Amino acid sequence: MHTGKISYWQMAVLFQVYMTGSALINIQGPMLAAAQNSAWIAMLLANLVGFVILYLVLTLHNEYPDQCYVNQVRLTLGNVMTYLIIIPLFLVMLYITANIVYGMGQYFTTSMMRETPLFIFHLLILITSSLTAKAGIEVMGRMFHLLMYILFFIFIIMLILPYNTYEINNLLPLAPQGFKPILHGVYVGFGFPYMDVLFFAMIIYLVKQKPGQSINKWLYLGLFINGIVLTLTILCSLMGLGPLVFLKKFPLHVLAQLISIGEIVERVEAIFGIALILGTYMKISLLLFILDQALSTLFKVKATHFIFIISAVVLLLSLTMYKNEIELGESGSFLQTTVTFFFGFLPLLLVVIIAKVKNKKTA
Amino acid sequence: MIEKLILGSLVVLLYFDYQTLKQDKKSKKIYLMMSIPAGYMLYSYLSGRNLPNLDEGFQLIIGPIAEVITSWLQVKS
Repeated sequence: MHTGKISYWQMAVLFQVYMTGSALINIQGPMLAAAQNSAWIAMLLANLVGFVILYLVLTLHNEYPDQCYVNQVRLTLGNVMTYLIIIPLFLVMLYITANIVYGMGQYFTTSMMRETPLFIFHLLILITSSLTAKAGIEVMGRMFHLLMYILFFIFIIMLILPYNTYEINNLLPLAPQGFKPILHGVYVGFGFPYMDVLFFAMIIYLVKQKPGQSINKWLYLGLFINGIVLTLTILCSLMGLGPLVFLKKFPLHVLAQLISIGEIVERVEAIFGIALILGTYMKISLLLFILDQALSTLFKVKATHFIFIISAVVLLLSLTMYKNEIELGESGSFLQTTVTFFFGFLPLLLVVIIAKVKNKKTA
Repeated sequence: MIEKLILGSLVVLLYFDYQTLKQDKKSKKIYLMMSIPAGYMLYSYLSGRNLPNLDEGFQLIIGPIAEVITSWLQVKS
């Protein structure tokens, strides 16, 4: 188990970049495809579901504040059940990390650097992320602070500059096909990014506890900001691009292409690429750290030993799982939610209920 | 060719990383356990065979349920 400790604010920053990082770029396409014009409502509802997951995670954290999720399961259900729950969850986390890596590589090979082989992007981001994860949680807590400001600065600029293309009428009709597409959007949002809240339970215990204070409000606030940010990106994409938005995999990239101010500020989508790299880099670094945490705690060995081999597995998964971007899209919006629900959410619910009952009995 | 060289050097680097574990036998075992799927996927990638992978495993277990849910959610136009 990792031992470094970070402050409440640093943990809130890590949570924010973890939740918003890659979702800032990757969520609009699948969400708009599923929920069409009402994608922003679906995003808000999915955010509400995220609050439920965070509530469960924090309930467990309050029961065992000094333990990571693996040990929380161990203390609640015993050793055998821990293996049965954590090994599939570990595989799910590997799968999701590989999906995120592939999503970033795919963005670059389809929109900016078409001639460069996919594996170059995967390799470079994983080398950088694994070295960052190896440096530990304190380094990430300090470093991601500044990067978060840069990420949000780019995000705000990207949404403000194309203001002259926004048409509020593009948001209408709101839900022409009824409530089902909204539910579909919530289904997509549940799998990515909101089930990722559970994986964060592996590192919440690394916060430096202060008497009379709690991490809960910071994380709830972080999740709320995340919901607002992602909803804004969908709203702006819809208003700026109109019906064209449903044909685009990365609407924010197209929105950035539309920016034109006095023929001086033009074609700024490269800056959008920077934001994508930043967000993905931070998310993958944290996921690699979380994966190492899960593995080392599960087998009760020293932490940080496995970051490089996990990175290698993620690299190879990202290179071999999908033949093309269509397969990734299908996997992301079709399979990911169900997989995370069965291997992540249901065990979490079970553990929380049993932990509550157990602790009530002992009290 | 460059791709194979890069992946080859990655394997060498992983070997050196493995050597840093020294006397920690349990960690070494887990490391080797993790390198089995890595080797399998490396073979799958370099040979171009597209052998079954993690997503196909999930598809096999969860796929039918996911199909029922998504087909219900999708609006037929």
